[in-house]
Amino acid sequence: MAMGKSMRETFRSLSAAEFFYRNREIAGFSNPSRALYQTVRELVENALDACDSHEILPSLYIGIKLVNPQKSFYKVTVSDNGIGIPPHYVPYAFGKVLFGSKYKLRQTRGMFGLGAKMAILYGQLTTGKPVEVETTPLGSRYRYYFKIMVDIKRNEPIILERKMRRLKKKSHGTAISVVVEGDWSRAKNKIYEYIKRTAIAIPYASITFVPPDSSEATVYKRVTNKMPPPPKEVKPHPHGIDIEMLKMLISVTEASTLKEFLAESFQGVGPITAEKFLRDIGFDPNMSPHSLTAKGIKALTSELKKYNGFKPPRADALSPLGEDLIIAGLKRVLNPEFVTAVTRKPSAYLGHPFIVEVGIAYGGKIPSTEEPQLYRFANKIPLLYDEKADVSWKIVSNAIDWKAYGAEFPAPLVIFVHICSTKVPYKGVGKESIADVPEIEKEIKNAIREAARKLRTYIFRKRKEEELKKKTIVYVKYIPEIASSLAVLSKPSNTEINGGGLTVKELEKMLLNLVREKLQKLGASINVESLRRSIKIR
Amino acid sequence: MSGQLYYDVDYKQRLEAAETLHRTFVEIIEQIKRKENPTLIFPKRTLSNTIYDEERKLLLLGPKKQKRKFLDVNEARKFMQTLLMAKIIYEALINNEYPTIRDLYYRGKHSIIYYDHKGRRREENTWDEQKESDAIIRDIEVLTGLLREDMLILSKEKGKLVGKIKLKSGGDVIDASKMGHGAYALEPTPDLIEILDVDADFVLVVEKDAVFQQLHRYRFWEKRRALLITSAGQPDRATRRFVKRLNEECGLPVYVLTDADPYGWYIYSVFKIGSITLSYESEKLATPKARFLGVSMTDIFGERDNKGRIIKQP
Repeated sequence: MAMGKSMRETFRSLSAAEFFYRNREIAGFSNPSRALYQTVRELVENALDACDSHEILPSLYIGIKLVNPQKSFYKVTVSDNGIGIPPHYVPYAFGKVLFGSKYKLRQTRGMFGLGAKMAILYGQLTTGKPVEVETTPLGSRYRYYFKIMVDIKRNEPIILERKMRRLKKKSHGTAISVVVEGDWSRAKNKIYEYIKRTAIAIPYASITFVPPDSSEATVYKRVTNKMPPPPKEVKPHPHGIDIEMLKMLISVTEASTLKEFLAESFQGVGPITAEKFLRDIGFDPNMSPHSLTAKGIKALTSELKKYNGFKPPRADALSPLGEDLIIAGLKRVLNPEFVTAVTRKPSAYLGHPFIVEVGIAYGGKIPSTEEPQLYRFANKIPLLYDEKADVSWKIVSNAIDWKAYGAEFPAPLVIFVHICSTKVPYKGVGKESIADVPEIEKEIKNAIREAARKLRTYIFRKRKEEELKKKTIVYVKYIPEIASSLAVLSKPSNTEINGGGLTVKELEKMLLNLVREKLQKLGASINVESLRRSIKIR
Repeated sequence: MSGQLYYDVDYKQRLEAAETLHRTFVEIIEQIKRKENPTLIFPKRTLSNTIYDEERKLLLLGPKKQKRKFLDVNEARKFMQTLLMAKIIYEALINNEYPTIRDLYYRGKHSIIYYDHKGRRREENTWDEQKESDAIIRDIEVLTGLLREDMLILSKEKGKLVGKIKLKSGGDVIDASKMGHGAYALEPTPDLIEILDVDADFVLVVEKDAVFQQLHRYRFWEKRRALLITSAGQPDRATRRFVKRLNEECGLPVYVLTDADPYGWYIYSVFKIGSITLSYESEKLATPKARFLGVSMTDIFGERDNKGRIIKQP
């Protein structure tokens, strides 16, 4: 919000569209390969938000088509079954920068809702093609179609075409197509990886991806109908305040006293706490907030950040996935033999609530690698770049002794780390790695250890079982020879007497029973018959 | 007629051996029926369980027993091998065969194809080398108390005999003084030989076949009224057994002539007191009254001088 305020001030002199175009590296559009990836990512995240925040199980279609091979123009289409956009908002939602629905303090995928617009701008500037939007708002029976371009200097939408048609069946959702200059061969791996990781984080979404170079679609079917509860909007916590934000809050407040202002504008602060706090720091609780001087605001900000008498930040604004969904997601994409997840209790850094979630998947279809495979997520968005700079990598690669947890490299080990927060502390402007905030680092470490303990139990139990199976095989593999020998030896030596003795089959059965009983005593159940069937004598 | 007789001698032996094997392993089946871990118990054939009996002057098997269990990861393979070998011997006995130990090795050598605990396909031979199957045969000998010969298992014969002695073997009468430049090859089942007539004062056992040939062509046995025997190196069981019979049944003194080296002394000791690997058979194989004839170092170089040097040039 502080950013919003300061940006708005900047944009008075510089068109917002122009500003973003000039700073496109920040938004991730630095080259055609990265831009294609970023376009997919922004459109997908917008689509997921349109479903998630209204508790609609998302069904996503992502298509990339090569529309101009000479110029490497790709048409990226993402359609969702979200709440749709009221038709009169469409031109502004897509044709004017800084218009959107994400200006509240709660956990959403992108804070500013700008990413999709950045993709539109990038497309328009590299290809000259307009964005195409089709949408059906919730409850509407019409499909609205728009072709829009952005007037960059004036930051106004230009509507090239608009249509509507009546739908035969009830539906809702939005489809957006942007033509961008891209580089599929270079972006390919990242895009596939992005979709795969999104499929892990959002197991309640079904995702279909049609790439430009093959007719085969990648399909992730929905594996659960359970969704995390949507995040609630909350007031800022005094510990997370800065001068700009405080100024902004004062500018919009209707409170007549400072005490009232604090109690109404912040979470964790009631009238009594507010009064006590203000008296403690030597402020008059009954003064008007508007009469604060610049110096007073500065002093109040630092006191608000320091004071220990407030309730800790609430986590209502957060929407963690929960252990079940993490497990479902890891299972559906990775097919591991073991999976576990841990969702930690809410915690806070500098007044920002956050929750750390960790999943561990092991074995099965996961390939063995020399290092742990780290899947990072922030507010359900996969982070693909700058892995080695991330606080999670530091922990996974250094702080945890995986050998102690039974994983010896090369190992088929995937670590899933999700941080959800109203303010994710990214490192740098790329928003691809998370900074070493001590509170977060500690939570991640504890979460990984907690999950890794379950992994250890599993691996050690499995090792024990393997050891037992190894033993069992030693016995079972000799049973055919032993049974056939005993069958011969069991017949009386006087060949004139026929009959007597036991058959090979009878003896094998008795011997297998013996082995089974021995295993039962050890508390193991191994199918000795099927082991026997796999043995041949030549 | 004589063929029938020979068959009859064998037949009795066969029935006895087969019956013993049958009884031994029916007990294993009983254990399985009682849901016990099938266990073979037999004397330990190890150096630590080999003792020298001062009184009888023999290397004998000590009192230690060994247990070979099926449900024991370290023993299961040997347990299987023991049963497999017993089966092959049993079949050979019933089918009137005379397998050699090499035959038995080949008959029992199979590949077991299985999948290990990680699902990898594996192949394992019931035994790899003959050394392995030979050891199992020895285990069965101590387990059943039957010697190889009792089970009509043959080995390659090495021992040779010449001298004034008449034998009956396989129904034929053999005169060992009428072998020309050749010699009578001692059969692998020396207990089935009948000694009909002996006209000699002593037995001379020589280690080296070459020495035997020399003495034979010189007709040493005739000139010195001796029975000349060679083991052609390390003595086999049949040669040892026959030497013992000559000593104990015919009352002939036995002298052993070997090379002047540790192998020679060892061969003498095997004839006289038995060996570690076959200590369970010493009573049947060893000839405690055998005497060492030579060759010793002093036979070649003379006595030590008073300064402790060995060599005194002739």
